[in-house]
Amino acid sequence: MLVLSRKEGEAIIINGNIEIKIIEISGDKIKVGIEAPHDIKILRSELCQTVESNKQAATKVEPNKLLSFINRIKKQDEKK
Amino acid sequence: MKINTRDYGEIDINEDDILTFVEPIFGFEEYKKFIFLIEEDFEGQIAWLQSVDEPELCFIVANPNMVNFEYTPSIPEHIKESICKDGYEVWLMMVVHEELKESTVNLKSPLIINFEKKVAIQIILEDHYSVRFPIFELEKGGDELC
Repeated sequence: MLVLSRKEGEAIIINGNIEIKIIEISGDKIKVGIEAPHDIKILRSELCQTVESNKQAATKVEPNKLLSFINRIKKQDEKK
Repeated sequence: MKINTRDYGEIDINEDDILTFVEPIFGFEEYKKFIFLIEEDFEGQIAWLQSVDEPELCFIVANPNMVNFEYTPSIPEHIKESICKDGYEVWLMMVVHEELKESTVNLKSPLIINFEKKVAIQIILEDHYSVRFPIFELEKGGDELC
């Protein structure tokens, strides 16, 4: 991974047409501004990850699998 | 009314029990109506969120009690004042992996369900919780993983 240090107000440019600017730094939050062509899809990474894990949560679990899952959880609970 | 389900064939449900997602489940924008079915084999810890309109769409969800530390999601004020009013429950999307030990729950994006008002929403928290929290890794210092 390429790692760059930037100060407030500074920016980086990707591919000549995407600009990512550090708008504000305060406490543990950084405000980022992004300028990019309309066909570039920009999503918060936790949203992408949530969509992916939702899709997996919608995958059928075979009854046998579910039963062994439940038994394993019960065993874990007994250890508590 | 009768609906078709993915795992239980045709079932009879009470229309009043249908939950409406006020904002869609992330990635499933077309579907708003779901029915909540508790998995009877497991003490109310696991449930199904079955789409009323699409029989093949059904999520497996877990009660947060399943994780052995205190799960304290910071629900935004505007959600507390709308969806949560008069009582709510928190449920988690769960992935039961082919390799059981790799099964996870999504602590970052809980489902907030108000069974009184029959409304629900999935939110993404600001908290530092994991989208893929491993259910069976808890004994090995799970706290660090959340």
